[in-house]
Amino acid sequence: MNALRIGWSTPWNARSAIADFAGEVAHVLAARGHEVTILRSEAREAAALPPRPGPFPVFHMDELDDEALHTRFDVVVAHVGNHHPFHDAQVRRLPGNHMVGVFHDLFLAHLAAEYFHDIGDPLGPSRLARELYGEEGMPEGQPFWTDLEEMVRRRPMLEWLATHCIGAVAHSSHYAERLRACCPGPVAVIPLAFVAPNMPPAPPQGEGRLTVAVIGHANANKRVDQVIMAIGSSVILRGRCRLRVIGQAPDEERTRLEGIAAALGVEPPEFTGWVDDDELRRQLRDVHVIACLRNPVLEGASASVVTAMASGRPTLVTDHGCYAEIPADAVLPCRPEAEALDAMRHLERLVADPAEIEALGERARMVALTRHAPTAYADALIPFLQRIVADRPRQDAAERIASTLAGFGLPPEDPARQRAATLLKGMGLAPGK
Amino acid sequence: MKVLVLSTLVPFVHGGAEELYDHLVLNLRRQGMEAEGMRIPFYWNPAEELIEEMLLARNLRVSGVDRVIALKFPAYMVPFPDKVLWLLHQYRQAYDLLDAGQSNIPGDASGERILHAIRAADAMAFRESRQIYTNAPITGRRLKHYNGFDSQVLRPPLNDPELFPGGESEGYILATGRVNDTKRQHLLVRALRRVPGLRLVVAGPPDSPADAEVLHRIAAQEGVEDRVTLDLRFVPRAHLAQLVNGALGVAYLPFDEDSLGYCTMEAFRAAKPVITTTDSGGVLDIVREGENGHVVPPSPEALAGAMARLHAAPARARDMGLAGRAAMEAQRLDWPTTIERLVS
Amino acid sequence: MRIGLITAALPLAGGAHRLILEGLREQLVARGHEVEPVWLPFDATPGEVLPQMAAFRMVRLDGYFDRVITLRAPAHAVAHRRKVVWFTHPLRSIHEPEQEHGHARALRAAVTRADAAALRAAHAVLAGSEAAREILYRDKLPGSGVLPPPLPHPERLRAGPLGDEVVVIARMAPWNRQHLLLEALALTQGPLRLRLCGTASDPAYPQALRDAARRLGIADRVTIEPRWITEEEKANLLENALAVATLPRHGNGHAYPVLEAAQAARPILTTTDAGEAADAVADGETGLVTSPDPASLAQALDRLQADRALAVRLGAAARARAAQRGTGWDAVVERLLA
Repeated sequence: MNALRIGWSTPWNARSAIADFAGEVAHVLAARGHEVTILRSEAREAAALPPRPGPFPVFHMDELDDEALHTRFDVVVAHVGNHHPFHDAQVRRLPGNHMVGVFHDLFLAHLAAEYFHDIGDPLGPSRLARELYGEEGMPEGQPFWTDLEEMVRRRPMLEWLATHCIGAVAHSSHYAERLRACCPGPVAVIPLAFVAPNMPPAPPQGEGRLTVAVIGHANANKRVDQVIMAIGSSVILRGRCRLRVIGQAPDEERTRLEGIAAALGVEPPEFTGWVDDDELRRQLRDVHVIACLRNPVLEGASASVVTAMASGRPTLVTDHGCYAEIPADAVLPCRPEAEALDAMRHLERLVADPAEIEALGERARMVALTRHAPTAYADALIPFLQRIVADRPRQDAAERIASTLAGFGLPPEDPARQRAATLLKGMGLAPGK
Repeated sequence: MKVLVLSTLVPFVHGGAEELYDHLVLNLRRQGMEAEGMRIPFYWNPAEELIEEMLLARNLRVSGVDRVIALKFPAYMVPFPDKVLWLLHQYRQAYDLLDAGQSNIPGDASGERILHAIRAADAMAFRESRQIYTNAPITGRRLKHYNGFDSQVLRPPLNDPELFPGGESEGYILATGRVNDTKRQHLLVRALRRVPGLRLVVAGPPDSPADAEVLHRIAAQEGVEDRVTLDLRFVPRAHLAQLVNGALGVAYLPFDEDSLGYCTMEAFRAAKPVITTTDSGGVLDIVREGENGHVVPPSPEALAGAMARLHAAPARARDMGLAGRAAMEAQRLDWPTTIERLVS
Repeated sequence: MRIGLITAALPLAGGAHRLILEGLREQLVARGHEVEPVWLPFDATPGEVLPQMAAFRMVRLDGYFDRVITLRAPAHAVAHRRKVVWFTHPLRSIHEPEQEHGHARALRAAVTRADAAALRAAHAVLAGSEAAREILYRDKLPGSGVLPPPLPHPERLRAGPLGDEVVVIARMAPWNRQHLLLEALALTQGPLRLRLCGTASDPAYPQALRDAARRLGIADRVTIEPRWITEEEKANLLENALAVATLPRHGNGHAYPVLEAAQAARPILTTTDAGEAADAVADGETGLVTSPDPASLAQALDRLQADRALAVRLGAAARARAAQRGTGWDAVVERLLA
């Protein structure tokens, strides 16, 4: 077995979801015989947060210089997310250090904005965006920030860091294409590993009534209004189907949603307000269906949907982004342009066929356990990393030659660069991307 | 101190530059250094391939030594943290020979980028060197003019000074070195008619049979065959030294040469005055009219005048010869001094 | 023919390949060829190997030579229409790295691929030893036959009467196991002496040997000279040696000490795990092959000093066997120019 020395760069504190994930997968990697070293990526205060427990050696990334990163590890994997306090070190160390980037978020605009603010370069984000996306992506004179949908479409900032990686991992296909277009190395798609917290089992069916829940901080992105409209537009669902919002709802959003319900003449949703984990479980006990609609999609993958599915409950999802890649028979997919309509049809069907609720719930649970198991993730990641490690000597040699020629002022398309590539190929060192 | 001498190799060619390389390694060892030389094969046609030549030099690696002394393009591009250049010459076809229209680099866009590449690579090599020496002032001036780098002159010394102790004049003017049109030994043969009683010895390898033929023909035409000895071949070193040691004076008049010339150094080492011409180039850095020799216009008449003056006043010739030797010693043109500068 | 002898070398490091190159050059010149040795500087640091091999490949030799013969990895990376590779040993730093891990394995695989490409392009590949041929075979590299390098100057080695000194001339390093011989000597008696010569890249080892000799109480019977031994000095040392000992762990691809000892009619003392040396010596016929432990070595040493007739017989047989094998330059040149 070819054991690898893996530098595992990630936030490593109790508050980070990525840290949870990284810890789970690291355990599997170690169980498979690889050496894992944690390289913390937090900045300042966050770096002072106590480290997670675990058998791995833990360093802050900045404790090792570039030379050390190169000699001590066969490969360094950087788990990149959008939250600057947790990922600052990666922003600084990715360029030039030949890391594999695992992009947990496809949207890195917040990371960019906060990083540049941190270093005192307020024009940095727009300048960078223009470099990456041109005039069309970042029109001259406009502020960097606009509404989220626009941002995701025009300047998600994913490319900013991916171009510096020797390989990249996406957690769903929908942003893998972007990575393939900008990352010089291979790109793998691996469904997010997530060990869902234990949720109470689904309640037994009773009297043709259905309780639907939306979990988490209520905002427009979660499409609660679509669920209300689904219920309100259906003769079958009105009166049989109630909606509970479990989690904090800002007053404005709450008012808006209550208004929609009133206009449709249906009961307003139940708002629990902020709940702790125990209260969340209690609130879920009588929930039959979970609505996990998202529009637009900002994350690479969704831990929430995995939690919902792991609880054995049918889950409504918007059929795009990472949600579109979940096996269709394990979720209730709704078209992004017709979420309310499709949600209504799904819920009507469930009301009519209670056996389907159980069957669908069970299929969801199996997918959550297998597709999103840390072992599945590690077993997909390891061969990918092995491939990258195997290719590294060739890549280093090619870079060395290319950089000499670049130093002579010869651009990539110059015949001399082509000749050099041919020469390396003739040495059995052709790229195998 | 462990020293590696790096230069280029044109297989089966062994000339002055190769002699210098060999003697540099030899003298480093004589001065107590552990030294070795390595020469990288170099092929400069077509010009496009110069890119590969430089690329390969930049990707060679040297270890196990304390210092590298590099002599030629593109060997001086091999990276090393403690590198001294002793520039015998750059790739002149990218610089002064380009300006003179004598380059193998095409004048089109492709050639432009080759030139740019050479200049960029040269700049890297020069910048990363701790010291740049040149073999002659003109080389240093070109370096400054074309590449903007400063350097110090370090002239290659005579390889075997002990062979030239000097001696009594046997009354002939001697011309040594390669025989060809540029070295202009034919001017001396033409001049001889005007100096009755004086003998001329030309001893050195002709570049081609035609070059030898020319001298024979002129000697016959001038009617001086009885006073001219034409020993046109590779003269064994010992015999050459003997000729120098017994000369009245040595004539060395190449057209616009960069360096002092080994012929000049041999002559002065043997305390013989040197006759040269106003357009000989580097020779003029040491030969001074009336002090240690004669500097005259490149015509048979002027040369005859210089030769006659030596012939008429051999004591004065001897004094000028000694002044020439003193000039060499003042410049410390010897291997121990040279090595000291290269390893400091 | 215009022939280039291409080698890759760490500047100022000695080594058998220098002698082989010099010997070959002389032989080719004597046969009327024009020969130019080409020395390419080489740094064996693993991460630097591939770019240097690429650089070697760019060296333009076709216009200068009718044939090139490459000696010592990775000189074989050069390109020429008529390239003969005399493959004596792959790069130690790549094939026997200090640490085995993912990146080291990847480097070995990549360098092996580059070696394969270079060897496949060759007109002929000749292995310098059985061990080299095995490596070619193992790594699926092309190779046609074994051609061991002969002694560069066999005539300089003289056979004199056997004395009391067992001579070891090898790089002074742990893998040549000079310390094992010290321990063996400590278990013997009598006038038997040991002389250890050879350059030491790490001065700690010769120091450790001196300390051991003192500790074992044999300092007066041991001479330790950590320096390069010239060919003349070697001839003098071998002329009256009792025996030559050579026990490199895993072998080193040349077995020169065996050839030299045989030429000087000295019995050879080696161990079962010494690679080519063990292969080249017939136990009880041309020398003694023992287990690699002090007691066994001591037993062999005692045998040699007690039974002089045996020692003489072994030495004479070694010499006769070497002469018989005809590993002279004629055969070598013929193969290289084929």
